[in-house]
Amino acid sequence: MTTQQRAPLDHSLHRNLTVIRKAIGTSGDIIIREFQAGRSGEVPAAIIYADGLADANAIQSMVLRPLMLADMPLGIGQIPLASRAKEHIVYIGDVEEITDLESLYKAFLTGNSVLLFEGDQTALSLDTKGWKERSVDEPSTQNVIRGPKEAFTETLKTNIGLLRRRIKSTTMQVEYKTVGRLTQTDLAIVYMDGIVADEVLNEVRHRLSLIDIDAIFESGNIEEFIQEEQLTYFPTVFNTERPDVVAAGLVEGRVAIIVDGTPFVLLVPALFIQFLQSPDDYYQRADIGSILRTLRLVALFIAMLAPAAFIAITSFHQEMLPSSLLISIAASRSGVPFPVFVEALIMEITFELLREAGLRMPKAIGQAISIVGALVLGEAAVQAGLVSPGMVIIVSLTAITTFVIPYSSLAVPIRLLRFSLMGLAAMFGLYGIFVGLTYVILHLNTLRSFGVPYLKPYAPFIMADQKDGVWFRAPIWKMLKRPLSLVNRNQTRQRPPVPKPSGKE
Amino acid sequence: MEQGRIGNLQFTVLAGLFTIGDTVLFVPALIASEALKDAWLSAILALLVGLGIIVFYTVLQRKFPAMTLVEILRQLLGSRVGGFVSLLYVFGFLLLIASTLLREVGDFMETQILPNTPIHVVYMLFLVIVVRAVRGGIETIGRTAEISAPWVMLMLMLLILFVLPESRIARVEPVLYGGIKPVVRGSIIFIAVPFLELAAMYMIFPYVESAERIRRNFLVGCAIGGVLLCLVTFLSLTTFGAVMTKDAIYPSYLLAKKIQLGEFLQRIEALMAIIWLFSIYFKLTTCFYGICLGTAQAMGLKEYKPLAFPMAMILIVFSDLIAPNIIAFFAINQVYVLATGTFAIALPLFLLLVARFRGSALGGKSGG
Repeated sequence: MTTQQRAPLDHSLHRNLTVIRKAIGTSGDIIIREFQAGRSGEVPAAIIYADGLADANAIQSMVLRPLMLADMPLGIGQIPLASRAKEHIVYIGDVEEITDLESLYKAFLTGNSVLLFEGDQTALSLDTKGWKERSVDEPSTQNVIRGPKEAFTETLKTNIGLLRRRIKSTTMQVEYKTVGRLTQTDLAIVYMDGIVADEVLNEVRHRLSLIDIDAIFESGNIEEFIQEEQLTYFPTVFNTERPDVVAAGLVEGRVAIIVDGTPFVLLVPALFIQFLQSPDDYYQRADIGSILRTLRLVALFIAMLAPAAFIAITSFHQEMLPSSLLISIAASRSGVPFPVFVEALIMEITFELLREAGLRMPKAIGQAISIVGALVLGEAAVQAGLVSPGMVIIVSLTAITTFVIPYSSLAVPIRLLRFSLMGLAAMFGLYGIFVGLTYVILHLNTLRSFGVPYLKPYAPFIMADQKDGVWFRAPIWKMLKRPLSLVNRNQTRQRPPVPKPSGKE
Repeated sequence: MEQGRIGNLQFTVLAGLFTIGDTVLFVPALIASEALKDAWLSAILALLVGLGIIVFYTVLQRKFPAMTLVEILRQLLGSRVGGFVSLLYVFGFLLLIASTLLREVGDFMETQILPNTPIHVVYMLFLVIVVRAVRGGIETIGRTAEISAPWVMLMLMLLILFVLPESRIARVEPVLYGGIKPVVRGSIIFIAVPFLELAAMYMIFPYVESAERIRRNFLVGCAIGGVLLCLVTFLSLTTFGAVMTKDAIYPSYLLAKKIQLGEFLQRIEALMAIIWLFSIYFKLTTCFYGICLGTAQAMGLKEYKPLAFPMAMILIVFSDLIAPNIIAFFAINQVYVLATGTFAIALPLFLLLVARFRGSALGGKSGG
């Protein structure tokens, strides 16, 4: 919406309505209801709202009814009717006065209802939003064993409410913005005042202000605009549908960007290790959490390297295998017509196809896919002599470990890298894997997320942040400071002494 | 020209990896060919002398904390003469080290792991990651070293631990059988290979966060690397005896072949090769970074990163030219100490003298 050409409203209700009707055109969902306000019906007035966005019941009982039964003398042109109505008559909490057509359109297009009076240049925008929305549900992707079961919804207000319920502090600040020339998508920047680093916050504001596009439908659109490095597989913006994760991120000094219309909230700056930390690491005992994290790290390496290592060892470094194992692998591969790399490629691509198909299938057919997949991948391919049983094991292993990575935005680059590493391993054996992995590490080291080096706190190494790392989590009472990787002021999280049972030395 | 800075830990790690470098792969053999059973004494002697040389390097660094060697040369000798000497340092010293390193990777891969792959493909693949690192700048190099160092350490420790059961002290007895002379002769090559080559670090000194702690961190890094080298030398001697150690081209690779744990963990030398692949990689990257940065500074260019790709091509050719075959390649070692000593000892010494005589006029301490 451009600010230059704000057409003011007219005195005459009739002329206003003519202009508005012309702008609406044929849209049948915008309802213009003309009526006579006041008990004796002395003031012509009109209310405009969008059917399906505004709550018709609320409009009837909270706006129309009191206006029509109003006792007060309403004289045309003598007193500001709109402000009188706002102060004394309508029963709506959030009421705004508007004086130009542009904000009037925006008001009823976002679900508010607009109240116009004859002889008044000011209209009222009443918050009567009441569309059908999905209720707060369990997260569909990021599940935990222990921890809150709530997930964000598609409605911005509900989502901010979910955050407020977790952080009851006035220092939690919410800044609204609108992006998208046509979609007018609302988004909110949420941060903790006094914890967040100003550079990060200003950078977020700056990058968001540069977005000029017709439509924003999902936070993924925003993510592409604000990420630093475009030429990378790796996500430098974190996304989650869990309010507890966002709340924890805010308290650590991160900035959340909530986009209306999607349950996925963005969190910046994002570090690599974040994508390997599941929220229930913090809700379970520290030692269990640490073990699970180590397991996840192992899974990451298996997911990335298992087929590549299998190819490298069977085609270049056979001496690394014990003789008996080597013989059984050779025996199982004896009927297979392809080199091990092609065999691995066929199986991996088949699996990726099955996975993609399983996602897109209607739920009812999903079962069928898994049966076909298990039969094709497991039984038939081996019996037909197309692949060796060893390869089936390797591919299943990578499939399982890929799902261990808690955030799919990291699982995707790992899946892609798997194929490149397989190619390198097929050509150069372990040397190829060495070069490939080093290249990935180099690449990760050039990445930054809102100015923060991506591999912090490992490179640059920060001793204090090792207490909440990629394979270890210290007990909560040990975490005295907020992560030094992110915040440079107000680092104190808690003050010793930590609670201990009383009466014991 | 270089905006990035590396932390103290990153510098220490880089110094340690540089010290381990290619030394770990073949130096035990070179020392043993001179000092036989007493090669481990040579190693310790070399380490002590080497640490002295490190302190010597930091004398010049402390005088000009904000400058690379090339910048010091240009300031003290003027841009023409200084630039010329700088190019000698870059192409006569850094490029020499870099090309021997690349050649070693190629030869090692060719003879031990990938006999059927053309050597130039091995070169190119290695240079892909070297060029990528230099184009990322000193910060990328430092951080990558920081992440890789624990793995190198871990693997080296595992190597030492797993081979320990095979070692017999009797194989190095009697101590000092041939007298002190072979020990000193043996230590010379060990001084030259990591410690004189460490003069390449002159190109990254000004980009370390706290200049005053460089001496300490440099010493710590090199001492850790040096001690590990001494351990590997000692282990080769006590595992294989002097004769087999000196005849082996890659004694530590031979050590890795000895690893046997239970029935299944055996012949993991290809995995252990990651130790020296990583350490050679960081040594080569540091030198290569010096080559690109030094050339740019000597010629007064604005940017060094565009030089990385052409320099890599030059490096491939140089690695081919440096020696016709692996035997000739090892013959270089007889004069190697003189070649490196010229730039590592004589040049800084000369600069210190010049700085002393022209000292106050230039305001040496304030640097550039």
